Amino acid sequence: MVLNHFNFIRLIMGSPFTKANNMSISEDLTERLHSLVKKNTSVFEFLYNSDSDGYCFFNIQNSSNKFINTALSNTLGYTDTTRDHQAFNVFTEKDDQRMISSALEKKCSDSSNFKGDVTLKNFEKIKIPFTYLGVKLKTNEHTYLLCCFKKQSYQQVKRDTKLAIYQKLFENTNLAAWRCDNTTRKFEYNETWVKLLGYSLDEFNPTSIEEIRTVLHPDELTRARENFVTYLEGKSPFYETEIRMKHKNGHWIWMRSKAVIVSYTEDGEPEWIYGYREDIDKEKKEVEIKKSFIAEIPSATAMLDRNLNYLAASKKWLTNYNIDSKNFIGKSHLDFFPNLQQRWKDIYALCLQGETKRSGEELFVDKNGKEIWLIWEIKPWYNSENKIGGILIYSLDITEDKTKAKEKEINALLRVTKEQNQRLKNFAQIVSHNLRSHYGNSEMLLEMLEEENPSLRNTTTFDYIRKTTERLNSAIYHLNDVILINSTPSCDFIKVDLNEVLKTALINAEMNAAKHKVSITNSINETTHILGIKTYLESIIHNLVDNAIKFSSPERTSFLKITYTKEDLFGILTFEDNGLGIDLEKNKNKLFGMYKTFHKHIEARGVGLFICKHQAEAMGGHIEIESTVNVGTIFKVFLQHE
Amino acid sequence: MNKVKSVCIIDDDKIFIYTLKHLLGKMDFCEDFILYHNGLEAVKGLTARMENQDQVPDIILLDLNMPIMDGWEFLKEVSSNSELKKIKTFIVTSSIDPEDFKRTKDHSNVEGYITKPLNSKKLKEVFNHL
Repeated sequence: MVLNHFNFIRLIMGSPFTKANNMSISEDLTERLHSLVKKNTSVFEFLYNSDSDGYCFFNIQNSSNKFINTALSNTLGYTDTTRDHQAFNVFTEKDDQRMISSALEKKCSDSSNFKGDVTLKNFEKIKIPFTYLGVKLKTNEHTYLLCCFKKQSYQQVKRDTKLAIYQKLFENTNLAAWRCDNTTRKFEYNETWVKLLGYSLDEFNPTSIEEIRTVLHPDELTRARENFVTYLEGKSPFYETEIRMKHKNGHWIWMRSKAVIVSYTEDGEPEWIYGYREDIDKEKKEVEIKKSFIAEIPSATAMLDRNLNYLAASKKWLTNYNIDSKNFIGKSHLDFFPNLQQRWKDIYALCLQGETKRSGEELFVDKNGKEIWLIWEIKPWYNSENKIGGILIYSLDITEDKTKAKEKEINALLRVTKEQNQRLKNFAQIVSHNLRSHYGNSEMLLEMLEEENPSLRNTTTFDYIRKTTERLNSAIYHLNDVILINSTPSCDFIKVDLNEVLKTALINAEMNAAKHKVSITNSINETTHILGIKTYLESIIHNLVDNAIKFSSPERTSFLKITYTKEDLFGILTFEDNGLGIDLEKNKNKLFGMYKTFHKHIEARGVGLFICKHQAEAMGGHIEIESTVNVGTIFKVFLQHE
Repeated sequence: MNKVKSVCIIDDDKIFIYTLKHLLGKMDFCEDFILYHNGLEAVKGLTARMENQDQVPDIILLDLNMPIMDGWEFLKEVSSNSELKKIKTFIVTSSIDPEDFKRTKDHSNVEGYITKPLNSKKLKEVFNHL
């Protein structure tokens, strides 16, 4: 077969055209097509390049005069038998009209291509979407339309349906709608949209994304663009931004802009984006007023929206929580408090439902471990529509007041202590001056009396008066010691030669020890020093040595061993005896009490241990005791070593 | 032991003075006593004696705790009087407060600190010191 144009057309068309009423397309028409193709290579190219699911060929003047080829009727599922009756019905009238009118719109001559969408009914009368590509063919008598059809893919159908819905919405909505084609940067808006800015459609000219930016406030533009890009890149589930736009009159209006991607290109790039704007100017300006008001509140205050994002905060809040004052608005509260306890989240949730929560004085510990006393309150705030717009958090740092109160308390205590100390000193003076002077007189009078009446010397009564006077003296003496320890402020300790003090004490006790047959051993090194007060150390040693002798057991050979061991914190001076011992279980509480005695002993005064304890403590140490009745006693004096 | 002409006793305690006089008399080391019951009385009396060129005591036995003018105030008064300052003064007190003892060191005319009760032994030490 010669591959002339005619044959070629037959070949690519698969079969001759069939008229809907089952009449084959006339040879004449085929001839005409052939001659057209011969005249105009673009028609040939059109047919050659159309990767089609079938063709249709009809007369524009008389749209009922239609021909479809076998490929198309097969695509639609018609069999040879059904085709005869129904093939013509594949077109809806509306689709016919559309194809014809789009053909007529092409005013230019033959072979101008055009395309569009149609739905063709298959043999079950289900509408199947097709894209068509048309070409106009003119002969002397008629204008013909040759359309090749391509069944749309499912994706394509979906995309187109979606676009169609949005298109409709865009055209009919009262919302201030806009759309843009991200591939071409084309930007469109409806009438409501331009009205928001005070324009009519005729007055407002921007047609691209870039042009539209000229009416956006530069302060918010960067964030809006960032939000937009984030959304386009799929990093955020929606696009929403609050931005000011320039009104025709020159002032700025707050808008909230929301958008969705409706379609993607074949490469998966976002294509059509539809969105709308709402006027939030009033709402926003209210917030702005609140914002500048809140910034100046002297207490720590934060205003959050329903999503716990910052709308405003007082300067105090920002300093207290170390938040960057330039870059916190719009950020989440949780960004600044990532370890927020569930307790607070629960409180926020309740407040967002309308509750108000407040605290009493509450102790917090900040990240540096500093204790902070706070009073806080969290409550919802309402927008102009009386709906909860978010929450207000308010906290007051009362640490300073607390500290002051504490200081006051301490000062009050200090004052009382001072007064008591003063009274104690006065008391000490009364004891040492007045009481003692009476004793002194008694003593001197007794002496005189004795001299004048030597016969009195051996009478029991006189002897008792004497002893009573002596006991009064020693009682006053010890009382005075006790007061002096308690009223003398701790002074700087000095280095004391332990052995020197001990030796003096032992020499003084020599007679007494011999009388009670107590052998005393001192195994302390010559060069042992402690830090303390010499007179106190003398008193302690004197008392404990005295004690050991006084309460030695007459039933055995008595000893007193004095040793010294140096440990980390203390030097321990130990007095170990095998004397009468003390029942510690019974006497634990009163052991070191004033005027407690444990032995029915003639010289037991009971002040000694009390004084020892306090003197040891005044030197930064203490005294411990181990004792078993009738076995012995160990006193350990803890002293600060050199 | 040196015998002195005159001993001045400044003390408000009559019983003490009674016993002290007895002791001094028994020990016989002074010819005369001058008695004052408080510091002010003593300052006035002693100053008057000096002006009249009367006998000034050889030693003063000074109590600390007295009404009107106590021992400390007396010492202060005396410190501005060059003549009275020369008289050797002994504190005779019932105070065993170490603070009182320390305080006497500030006064150059104070020769000693004796705690009551007095007895012949303590008195002897005083006069041996002279």
